Amino acid sequence: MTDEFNGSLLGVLNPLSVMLKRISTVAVTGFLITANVFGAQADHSSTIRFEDITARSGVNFVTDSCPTPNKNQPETMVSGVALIDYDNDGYLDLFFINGAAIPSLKKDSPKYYNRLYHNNHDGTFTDVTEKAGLAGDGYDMGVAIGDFDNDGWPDIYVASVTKNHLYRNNGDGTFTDVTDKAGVGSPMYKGKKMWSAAAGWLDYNNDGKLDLFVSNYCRWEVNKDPVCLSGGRLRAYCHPKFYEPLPSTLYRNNGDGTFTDVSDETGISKKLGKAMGVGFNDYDGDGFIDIFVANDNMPNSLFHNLKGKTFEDVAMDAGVAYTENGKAVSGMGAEFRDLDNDGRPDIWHTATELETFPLFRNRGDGIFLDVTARSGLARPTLEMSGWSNGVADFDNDGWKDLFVARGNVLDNIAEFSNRTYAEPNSIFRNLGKMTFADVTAQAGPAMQVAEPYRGAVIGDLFNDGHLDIVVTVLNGKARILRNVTSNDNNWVMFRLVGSKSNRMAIGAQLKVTTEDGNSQYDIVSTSAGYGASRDPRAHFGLGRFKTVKQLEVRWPSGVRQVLTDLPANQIHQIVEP
Amino acid sequence: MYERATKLRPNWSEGWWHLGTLFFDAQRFGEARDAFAHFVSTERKQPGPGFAMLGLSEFQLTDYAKALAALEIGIKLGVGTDAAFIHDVLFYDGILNAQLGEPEIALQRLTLVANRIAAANPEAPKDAVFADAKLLEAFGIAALRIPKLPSNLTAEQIPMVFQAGRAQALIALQDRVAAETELKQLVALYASEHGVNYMYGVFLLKEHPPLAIDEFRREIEVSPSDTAARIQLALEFLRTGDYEQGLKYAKDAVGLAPENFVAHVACGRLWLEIGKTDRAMQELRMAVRLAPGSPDAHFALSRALSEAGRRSEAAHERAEFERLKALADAADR
Repeated sequence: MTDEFNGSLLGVLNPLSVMLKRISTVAVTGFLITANVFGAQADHSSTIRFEDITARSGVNFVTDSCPTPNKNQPETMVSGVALIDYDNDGYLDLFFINGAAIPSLKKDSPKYYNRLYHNNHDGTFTDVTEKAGLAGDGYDMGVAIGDFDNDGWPDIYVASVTKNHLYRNNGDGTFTDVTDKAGVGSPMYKGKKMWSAAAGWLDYNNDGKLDLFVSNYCRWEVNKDPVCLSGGRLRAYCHPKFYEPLPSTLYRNNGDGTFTDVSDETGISKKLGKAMGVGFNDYDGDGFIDIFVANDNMPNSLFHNLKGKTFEDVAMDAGVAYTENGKAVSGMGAEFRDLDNDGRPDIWHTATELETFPLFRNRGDGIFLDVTARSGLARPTLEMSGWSNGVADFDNDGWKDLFVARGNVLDNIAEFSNRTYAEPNSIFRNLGKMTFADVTAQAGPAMQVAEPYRGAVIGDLFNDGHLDIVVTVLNGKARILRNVTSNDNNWVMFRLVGSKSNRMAIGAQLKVTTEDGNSQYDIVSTSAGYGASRDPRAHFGLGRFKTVKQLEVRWPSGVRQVLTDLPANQIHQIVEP
Repeated sequence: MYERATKLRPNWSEGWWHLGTLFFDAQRFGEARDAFAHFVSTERKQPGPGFAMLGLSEFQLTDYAKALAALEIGIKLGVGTDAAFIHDVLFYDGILNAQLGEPEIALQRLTLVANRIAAANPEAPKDAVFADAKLLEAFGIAALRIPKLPSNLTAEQIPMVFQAGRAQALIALQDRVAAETELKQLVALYASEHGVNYMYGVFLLKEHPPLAIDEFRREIEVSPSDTAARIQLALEFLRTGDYEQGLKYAKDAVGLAPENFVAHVACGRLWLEIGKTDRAMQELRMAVRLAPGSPDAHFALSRALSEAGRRSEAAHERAEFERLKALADAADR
């Protein structure tokens, strides 16, 4: 069945013209598998569990940030990881971002290469970096996947301390570096290339072409960091306040393989920050994608999209610039998705210890409420340092849960504090009504392992309807955490293919309604957490329901599509009519 | 000579500076104060050091409120680059803030002093800081919230103050492991003294927040009318979503110290979380009246107004918050 599915999917994922000959309005490519692969009990609320399968997966990626005694700020921030089906075989492959030597900031050894691993469909992966031509050359940070040329093959953008890169997917397992032609390699500020920490693809003007948002962190030069002492004697990574902020960058896709920097004309560059995670969603339902940026120790930004022409930062008025006590926290990973199934996207971002991880509920009138404490997240996250994060329904109960990759910023924190550099990751189960419970302790031994985690990305690596997690470890081995949650809950996944809209359908809004009349909502977006790029398919847990009574898709083009009675436990491919 | 010259040219600021320093060195502090008062009224480019010297002169004349006011202006305007002078300005500002009921500001100033000493002695920063007995004493006074100058401590207080001072110096140097050892010793020896449990509680807020709650409760047992411990408890319960408990402490704090704007902020924020928006606005308006220069008070009020749907008033308070925050951030820098 798997091979059959692969063949089918390969067929429809050929260039758009070919695909449209085969499919008219909607293609429901059946991929029926047993949801209950691990012998589930009839329990809709069974424990979320993960198993570390790294050892047998063939993935042996080590993030190497080249830590030095000079405590260069980027050394503690290398994070990026992406899920990309680069060969369109229906299975997500892995792409990891890596650092470089210091002070050269060059990948002068294979240990600094970015790495692409091909998914062999059997739980193993093969390193195909060199063939793909994706090793990279500079000190890289984050990654964003998007099909910028609408050819049906996902492309890769790498955000970097040094030059950023855009790699065009040739469709034959290789990529071409098209950075210079595209003009997206060097977002500039005051005559210098900015340090880009993360990026994301969106179609901000709904013209059917993916644009590119780049989060820029701070002004920095190698080996010129201020000397910050902790414990009165130990050099430590400096607080971000010692560095000057930068504007973010927005590139508009011209549709001919080139981009135009529209940061000034759209107003994006008016706001200075120390941008890390970026999330996209339409918080006010006006049909244009808005941008949330988590800033490190500066007020967050919420760029309200004014009809695809300009943006205004409304974070302060909307109530998401600061936490409820009026403090700017160490914004890191950001998620911008609906958590309480009311159709309005909420915001959850990570921060460092003693700050909690703020959760902002979208009230629906342009105002967000800080519900961190009343959601039950304040107490457990108070002593955590979070980096990348993710929102996903891990137990398929119809409520999106939370995941955070953790680790202290300071590698020598234990020498002058009771805290530790390594921390275990955490999972918070959504109990409904915007309340969450920390279920990490029950999530299996893999979830108890403390490391200096940085990156995290969520997606279904095995096409079994259970969302898996890949995490990166700073100067340690990445881990693949397979979701082995055992219950009889049902699920459904949608792979959207745009025609008038951008090919990956990024920005499409989905509403899934089950027989009980309840609905769930999500957006197609690869942007996730901090420097990460997630499964582009939209996944929904359906609990006991074996069909989707109604699926409503609002495409970025404005087209509204309604499908009914779709069977559960399948990956459906939906083509824009 | 400078006396004659300043009489001839009363706008010659440099002359007033030199005259003031001569009087100060000769311990003629009243004349020094007058000379520096002339200096700050005539100097246009760099009046900061003059305000600082004015403050130090007032200190010697035991007019502490005026001394602190002048020192604060001096710090805001900048007091130059002479390390010894900066040390003295920050130190005296610190002990005056402690004496006049602003221990948090005192700790900020004294931490800067400790960090400067540490930076100047990279081989043995802790030893250098511990060698400054006056600094340790000042740290202890501020951390224990004793509203006294070091010279007014009783003999019985001194060992406890030094013990607390060592712990606070280690906190300033961010050696929190060593600081906790000192603090545990402090609590073991002086648990029934005012300020000791509170100090440990503040430390624990950054290490083991749930344990901090116990320490603040112990502080209330030792000092039943303590407001600060109640405010800390209210804020901690606010942070963790235990609103009813928090409100109990906040209301007590407001009752004990109706002029304390932080107590009103805590109370207002807790009412807001409980859904009593009117009560929240009432408390937060009081906070803003008591501390119109506090960004926190304006921010909290803006949230309550927003919750109540009073958009234009909320926007006004947000704007005021942003204005004040920008000023505070600039001062921090």
